[in-house]
Amino acid sequence: MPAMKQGKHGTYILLALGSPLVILVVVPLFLLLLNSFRSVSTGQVGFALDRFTLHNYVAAYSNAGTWTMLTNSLVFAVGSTAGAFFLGGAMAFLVERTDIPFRRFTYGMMFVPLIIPGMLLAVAWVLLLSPHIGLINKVWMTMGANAPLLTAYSMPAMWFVQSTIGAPLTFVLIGSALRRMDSALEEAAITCGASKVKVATQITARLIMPAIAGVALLQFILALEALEVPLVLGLDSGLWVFSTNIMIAFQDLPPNYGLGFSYSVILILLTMCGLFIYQKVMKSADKYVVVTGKGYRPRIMSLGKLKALGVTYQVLFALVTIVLPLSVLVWASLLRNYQVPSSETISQVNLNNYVLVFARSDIVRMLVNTVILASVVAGGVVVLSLLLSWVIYRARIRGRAILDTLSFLPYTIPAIAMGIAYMVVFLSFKNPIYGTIWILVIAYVVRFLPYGTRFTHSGMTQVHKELEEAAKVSGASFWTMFLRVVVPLMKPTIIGCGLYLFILSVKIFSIAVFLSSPKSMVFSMQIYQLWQEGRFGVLGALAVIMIGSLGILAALGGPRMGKMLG
Amino acid sequence: MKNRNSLLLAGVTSLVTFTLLASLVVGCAKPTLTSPAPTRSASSSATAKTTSPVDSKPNKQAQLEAAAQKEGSVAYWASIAIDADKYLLKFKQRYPWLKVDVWQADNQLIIEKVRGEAAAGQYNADLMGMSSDYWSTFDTSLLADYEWANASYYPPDTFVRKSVMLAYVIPMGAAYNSKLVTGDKVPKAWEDMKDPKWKGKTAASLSSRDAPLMLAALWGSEGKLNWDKSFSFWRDVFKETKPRSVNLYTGPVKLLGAGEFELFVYSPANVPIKEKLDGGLPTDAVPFSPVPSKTTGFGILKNAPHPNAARLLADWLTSAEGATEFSEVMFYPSLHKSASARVDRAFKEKAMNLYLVNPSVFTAENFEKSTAFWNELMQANK
Repeated sequence: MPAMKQGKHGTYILLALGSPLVILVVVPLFLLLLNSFRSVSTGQVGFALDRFTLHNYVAAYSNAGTWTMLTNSLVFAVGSTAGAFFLGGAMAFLVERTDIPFRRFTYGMMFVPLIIPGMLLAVAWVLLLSPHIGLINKVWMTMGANAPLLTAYSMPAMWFVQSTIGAPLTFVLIGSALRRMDSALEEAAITCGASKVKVATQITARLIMPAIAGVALLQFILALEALEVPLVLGLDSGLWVFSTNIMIAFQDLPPNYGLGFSYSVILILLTMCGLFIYQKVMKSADKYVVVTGKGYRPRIMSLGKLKALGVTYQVLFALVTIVLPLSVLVWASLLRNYQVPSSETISQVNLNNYVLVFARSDIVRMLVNTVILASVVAGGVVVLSLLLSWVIYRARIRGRAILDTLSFLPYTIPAIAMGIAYMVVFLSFKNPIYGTIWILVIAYVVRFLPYGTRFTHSGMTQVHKELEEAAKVSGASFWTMFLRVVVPLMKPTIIGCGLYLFILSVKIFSIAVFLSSPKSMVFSMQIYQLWQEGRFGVLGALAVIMIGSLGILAALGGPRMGKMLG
Repeated sequence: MKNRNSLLLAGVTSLVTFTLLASLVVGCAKPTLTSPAPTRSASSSATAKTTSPVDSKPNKQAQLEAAAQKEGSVAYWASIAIDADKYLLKFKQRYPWLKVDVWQADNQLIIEKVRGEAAAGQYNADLMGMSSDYWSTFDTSLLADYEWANASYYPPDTFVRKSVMLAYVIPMGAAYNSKLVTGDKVPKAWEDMKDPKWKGKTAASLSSRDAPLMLAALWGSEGKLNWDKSFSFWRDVFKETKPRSVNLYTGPVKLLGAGEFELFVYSPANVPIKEKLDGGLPTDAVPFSPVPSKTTGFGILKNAPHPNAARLLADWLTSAEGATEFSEVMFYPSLHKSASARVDRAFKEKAMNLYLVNPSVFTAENFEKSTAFWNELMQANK
């Protein structure tokens, strides 16, 4: 039988899996913390017990601007959470619990924004909501308005864009809770004469309260650590948040490492606090148990006259999360210099930017880098996650909970802080990894391990160990059993997980911005550089190509990915 | 069996995790992600080469070319590499056997990558190209001293020790949208930009850290910087016009051309003219005269993996041919005595005289002072 009991071999396994995790997760965090108490420049970053100072923290928190930044961060996170919750939660309710038309289509549609990198969405919304050249504002003002409808460089616009980024995840998580909920209590309320609205707010909402609280906290954390929207929209409006302050500290002359490190440490602490509360909330979810062994089907509510309103919401959602951002990127890709559509600019439309993308060797190299990076990361995380899940769920060895904790730990570290922590590690000693694509591979693998284990833990619990035991009784070795029983049974999980991680690896910017180099340029960083250079045409062409490719991938494996996520 | 299983599992998990790292270490030692260097034979180079691009010492040049050919490629990292594929066209035709890997980025990013790689014991860049203010913050111990082949064609004070050759001029002024700002509305002097009529119509870039320093140099006398006048001017501009912050490197001029704002209060003066001539954008330089100008140039890294190829490229960029090509494409005036390009004519036509700020003012201390002031101004600007 495959289960392994505690003994020296159990210890070997713990060490074999645990020590790399400690090295890759704990050591970078320790070095980041250590260096936040040191006064250092580039050549001095690393492990050394000298140059100690509290100056970094004093400078950071004695500055009045810091408190404004903290307020901005919290306001941005709260507003974005509320927005994502409204956009995604309402759609989840409509799709899962009402008779709104096009439910299957809407379900599929919700995964499209998941594949669009945040940096591209931020750039697209600048082109849509710029005060003077934003497409939406132009149309708005030609209709007679005196002022823009919404200015891209404002907190409401930042809330809005971050909400469209967070809405699909909210949809998936809230939708999952709604789908698994027993509707007996709702039916009882209706029998007692409660109105539809009262049932939705007094019964349904309360039953899924733990899921709502959990999702809200998760969105809050994601918004707190977000870099793309605050960088593209926030800096231009003077709305500095934690992530942008960290980035600017490293761009100072000379770079203010100490300040950047101290901000990062505080951001990690804030994130950890958020996740601690999240776990507490989820633990107390038992008292709201609504899924029992009894068979049930979620009750579908008839929208009646409200159906038209629901459909309008579906259309508007598709418009703001998919159609408008993609359209403006396509439009930008067809022009040499970005201009608002007019009879004059339509005559200038051409495909030169697409030709240019493939003619530029640096861009082709970046595309190759991105594909290699995403493939290696997805493959590496899937393999590690499968092994970890097997040890955690099947091998009865003492201390395996430590592995679970260690593999979850990177989840508590904001991506931007992880990028900085790895920069600190690889600046500390002479090594051949800094400046290559492999430093990104390592950081991404660690960053996405909690996502991978979430998939594989779930998949492993669905595969009964009887089949593994049968294989062992029939004389199969461990690896024969693992490769010929566990892996085939976990195939849907592996495909869904791999695909999701591939897409995440292409999208993530916060780590690449600190660790990528000319030789290891990747998609998200290239988009940022093109944006900085004002090359909106090439940027648009690259965006269309990448979103199209990811879209095809997601279409091939989307249902599996959706099942795993939801 | 259990023992064997556990040992196997332990072994393989170690293999997957540890050897992931190890294999990456091995893998990254090989430049597998870059396409191979062209394998054109030496004879093809001989036919392509007609005259030496270097203005002196042909024998030395031949030796340099032979050594560079052996190296096969050169990594050129520069903030002035935006259109490198265009201005290096003749270089590539002349040396088809040499692969040029170009990385264009903000000066600061280039400095950090080179420093970071040096700290990690890695050396990927061969030749750097940055403006004079950023060279002042760079650790010149990372640079190789070099006897610049074309030095005699340049003014004697355009060198930072023997490491950096400052070869081109960057005139720093302001830019406007020529469709939205016409006739008398175009500012004539720096002070005109303080007019409250510009409120809501201007923009300033976060990366314009040198703006206070450049105007302090312009308004200074006898080598002294007039920080007070410069600081006061910029405070007034921000107070009266509330410029929109733009977090872009060269992008603001594109936004200016698209009509996002009317006046960009600090910009390389050559860029809006270039965009007008080459890109058809309605942008132009505010015709200040004199225009405070800094320089930009090249430095070869001490641990360059392709030192000869770096020298070959540096020599070409500072030769008459290279200077003309660079100036034509990038629209930067060259300091080379015999180089002439349309940019020189454009500034002449606009009666804009270039005032070359003495490179000695670009010290790390002055630059930090300028940066700190600018950051403060930008952060307070809402």
